[in-house]
Amino acid sequence: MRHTLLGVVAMTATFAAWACEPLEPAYRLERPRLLGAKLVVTAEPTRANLRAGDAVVLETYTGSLTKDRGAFASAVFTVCAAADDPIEARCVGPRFADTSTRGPEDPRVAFTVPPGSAGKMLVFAMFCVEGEAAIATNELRGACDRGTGQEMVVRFEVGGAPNTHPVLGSDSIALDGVPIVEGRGCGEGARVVRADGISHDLTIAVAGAEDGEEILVSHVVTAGKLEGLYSNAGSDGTFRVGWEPPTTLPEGRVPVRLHVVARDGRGGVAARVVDICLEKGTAP
Amino acid sequence: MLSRRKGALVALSFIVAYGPFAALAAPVVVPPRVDVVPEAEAQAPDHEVIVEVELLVAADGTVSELRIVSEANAIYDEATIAALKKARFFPAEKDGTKTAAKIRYTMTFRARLEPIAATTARREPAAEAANAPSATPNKPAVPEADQATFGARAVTEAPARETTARSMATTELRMLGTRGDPLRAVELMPGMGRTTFGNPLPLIRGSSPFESQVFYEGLPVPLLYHFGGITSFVPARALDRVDFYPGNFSARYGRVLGGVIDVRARDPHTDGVHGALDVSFIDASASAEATIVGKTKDGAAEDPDAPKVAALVGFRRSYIDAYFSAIAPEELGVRTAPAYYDYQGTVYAKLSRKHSARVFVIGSRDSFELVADRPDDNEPLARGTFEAKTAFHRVQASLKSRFSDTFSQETTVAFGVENYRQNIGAIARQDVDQAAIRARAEWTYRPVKELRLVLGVDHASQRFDGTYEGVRPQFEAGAPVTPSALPRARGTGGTWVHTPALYAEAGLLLADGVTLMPSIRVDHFGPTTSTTLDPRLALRAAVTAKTTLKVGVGKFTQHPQVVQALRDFGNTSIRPGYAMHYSAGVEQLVSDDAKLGMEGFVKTLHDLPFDTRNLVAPYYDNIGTGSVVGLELEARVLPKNRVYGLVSYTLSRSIRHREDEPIRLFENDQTHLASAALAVRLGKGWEASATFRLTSANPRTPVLSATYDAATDQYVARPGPLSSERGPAYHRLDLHVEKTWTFTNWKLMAYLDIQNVYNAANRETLSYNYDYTRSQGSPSFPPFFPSLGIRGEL
Repeated sequence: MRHTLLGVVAMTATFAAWACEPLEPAYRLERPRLLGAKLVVTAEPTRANLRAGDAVVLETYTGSLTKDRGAFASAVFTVCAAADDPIEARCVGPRFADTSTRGPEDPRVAFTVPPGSAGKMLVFAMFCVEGEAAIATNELRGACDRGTGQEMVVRFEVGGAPNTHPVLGSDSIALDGVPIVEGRGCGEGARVVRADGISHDLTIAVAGAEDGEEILVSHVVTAGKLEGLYSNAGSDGTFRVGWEPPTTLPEGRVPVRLHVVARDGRGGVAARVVDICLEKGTAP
Repeated sequence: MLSRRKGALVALSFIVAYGPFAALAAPVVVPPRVDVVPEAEAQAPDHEVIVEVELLVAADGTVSELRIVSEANAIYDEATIAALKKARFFPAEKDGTKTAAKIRYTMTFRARLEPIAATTARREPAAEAANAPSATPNKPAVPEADQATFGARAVTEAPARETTARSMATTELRMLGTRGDPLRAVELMPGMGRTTFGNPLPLIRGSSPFESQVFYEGLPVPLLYHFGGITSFVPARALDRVDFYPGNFSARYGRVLGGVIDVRARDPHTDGVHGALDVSFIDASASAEATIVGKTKDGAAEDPDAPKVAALVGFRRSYIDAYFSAIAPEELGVRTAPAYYDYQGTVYAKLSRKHSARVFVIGSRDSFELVADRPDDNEPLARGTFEAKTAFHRVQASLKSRFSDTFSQETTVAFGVENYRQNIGAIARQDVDQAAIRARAEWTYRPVKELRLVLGVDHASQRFDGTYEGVRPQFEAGAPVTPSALPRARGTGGTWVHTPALYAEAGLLLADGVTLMPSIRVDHFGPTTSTTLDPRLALRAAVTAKTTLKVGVGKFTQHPQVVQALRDFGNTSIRPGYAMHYSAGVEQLVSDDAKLGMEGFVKTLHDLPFDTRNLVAPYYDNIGTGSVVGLELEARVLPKNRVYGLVSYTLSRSIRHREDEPIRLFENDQTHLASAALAVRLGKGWEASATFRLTSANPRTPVLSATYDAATDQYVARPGPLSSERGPAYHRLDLHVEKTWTFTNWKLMAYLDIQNVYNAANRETLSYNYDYTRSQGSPSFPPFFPSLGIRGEL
């Protein structure tokens, strides 16, 4: 028996991570990007596991450096029973709930889980920054008639174990200990921070985790440097991540957006967006 | 605690006190080195014959006195004397002046079917004589003030049992590798692929690392390099030679369909007490050896029936851990800094003229443990503990008996334990203990001069106990994988794996210099209760005194990895895969110390146990086939003179085919493998060597696009044609310079070793950004890496 495979991966990954500068920081939002998706049971919004016959809304979360809402111009969705293939998204049987959306908001797609269905299912989507999105008829491949786009797959299981969505409450995100009130831009009530070269602590609290459940939280920011893209919420659901604002800023105030998405790995999702208003400061 | 500056001063003080400056007080003595030793003219014996001679090399390089120290029989004694009387040496030097000196020279005639003249006796030992560092301590046996006695040894070529056997002895292993790394030197041979950092197993003739095996004294060991590439698991000083069988190997080796590397341990010296201490930036090692019974007495003839016992122990430990914390990235918490150690022990006992025994103790341990508090940006499962511990410990005993002139036996029994503990954050973790009993017995019968018959048993019983939890193990490489998206598997338990084997060989001398070697091997694999039969045939024909043609064909079966056949984890219906090897070539002696070689080979691969597409059930199955075609060229100058080295080139193409995919290049296909190594004895104790490698990069699979998986917040790559791209060629130059000061009773060496002299980046693999829209080449290990060391030998 050879036991070396993991060692190979470990050594290679460690060296590669050490030797290479990242090409693009994953925690910084520099172009239109998919950030998450959540399946919400219309009749019971806190429930994260789906049952046959459930009326469901798929909420999507996207981000952009330039757009305030809806990073993508168009999107198209299809839902189907999934093949037993953990890597490649493939359908078994007919697709249903084909939907196209276009508009300034993040797409929301409603469909009903077929009565009598069970097992693995998936939502496949194509998002386009400019043109019209389409999905091929013979395989799950997306395309845009112009410009760039991104494919998305949301896998879920019908009839799985009971689960509820985690919660990111209104005061769940704090900057240097003071909760950031959800707002837009640098308008009234915005949290103002001086870009004076000092790092700040973001504290994020996720509620609703079940015993022993590990919540993975991704955090993306439109400016500055975060300690990383991911954090694991501790046993109390709270964790800290450092944020270093950019030091070169235009005159006046600049809004910085922080997207936070929490996942429990079993279909439970919570998302929240807050703005921090940054104004030019003097480096210490 | 000392400051760095103070620490450096202390170290410098030590070197000054005990190092080169101390040498100024003693005379500089350079031992004699072999210039020419004619062939020993004698028929090959039925069994190995050793003749030990003490000779006086005059100041003009001629042999002026000659005395048999350990006699064999009249034929070989006389042949040895006749050859050595005509020998010429580069005389010893004392403080730059040529002087007479004694050396002890051992000529070994190994049993073979061909007349010895047809293959030319190899005198690797001459190299040792020429290469002062291995000179034995020297109590002048001849009462002349200017004389010193040095050891030397000659060994004729090993008896041919396979189409191609490529060997390297101590001098080449020490000087042609990097940092005196013996197995790095073997990588220079044709047919040896370039291993990548992190892969501790050899790539041989286009085969997967899992398809070849490293043996230590005939029994398998789990690794070739510490930490997958830093240094060999055993230091050069502990070795006699390394044999490399790239294909069509003897039936004594089995269970692999690629190639074999057999590391052969050195017997302890039998002439007193010796020791060595080696200190470098990376590790330190110490060894000691002593004659316990039957020390060779200077000036006295030995009783060949007298028992003799000698022992050797060695230990090496790295101390990268001493400074690793200082250079590790801040975000990594270092629980156990990378460290390795290995040890070797040998007891050699010549029980009588007919019986000898050897006991080996060998072990190795690599370990590191890091903690990453925050998940990696490109893989959220890469968080927590990163740990790798690989350890093996083994005791191995062998008994060699020559019952008569026609019948002999060699038996080996070994018991060993191995532990593998690996954690890759939340991606996977495993902790496996293995205990193994291995036994090998081989009986050789030679009823007539023209026929040699060998019957052998090769058994292993292994007990595995362990746990695994993580992404399902993959054995085939392809597109970059997103561990978060891979299927997971877990298992806990234990199992016995019994793999008995029986083999038989014949060596038939069809005509003068023409040997036919048919063999057959039967293997049984317990977990799948499969029994396989491998017939093999090799032919070597010495068409002239200097030209040997060779051809081979054979079947080589390899059972699936145990994990692939485990119930509830793998596929219990999986069968062994096999390869057919076909090869033909020519070996040409150019001179006494230079030879050329050319060999073409074809391997066809069948029923390979491959991963299923996307690792869906049954996860692993016999759905793989493949082939490898290649040509190997070699020019080699043996270390008998001032300059030696080798040039090798391998052209090959290795392809694989999973039944539901197009034919593709093998992920470790390296079309061109070119190596050049040159070592020069510069005089006055200076030696230098340079090694250059130019090889194709490994193929890689392009990423066409990626799909965002909302459940894991990861992008899953959509691969293009597998193995359809290749990065820029890999090239690297290593240098090694050492200076030896020879004193009356000991030697001191200082050496500088530089890996990757011009810091070639060799960006053959790609790293990607989070959504696979951007990529860049990742530099290969090692970067420019100098290492300075000192070594003292008693």
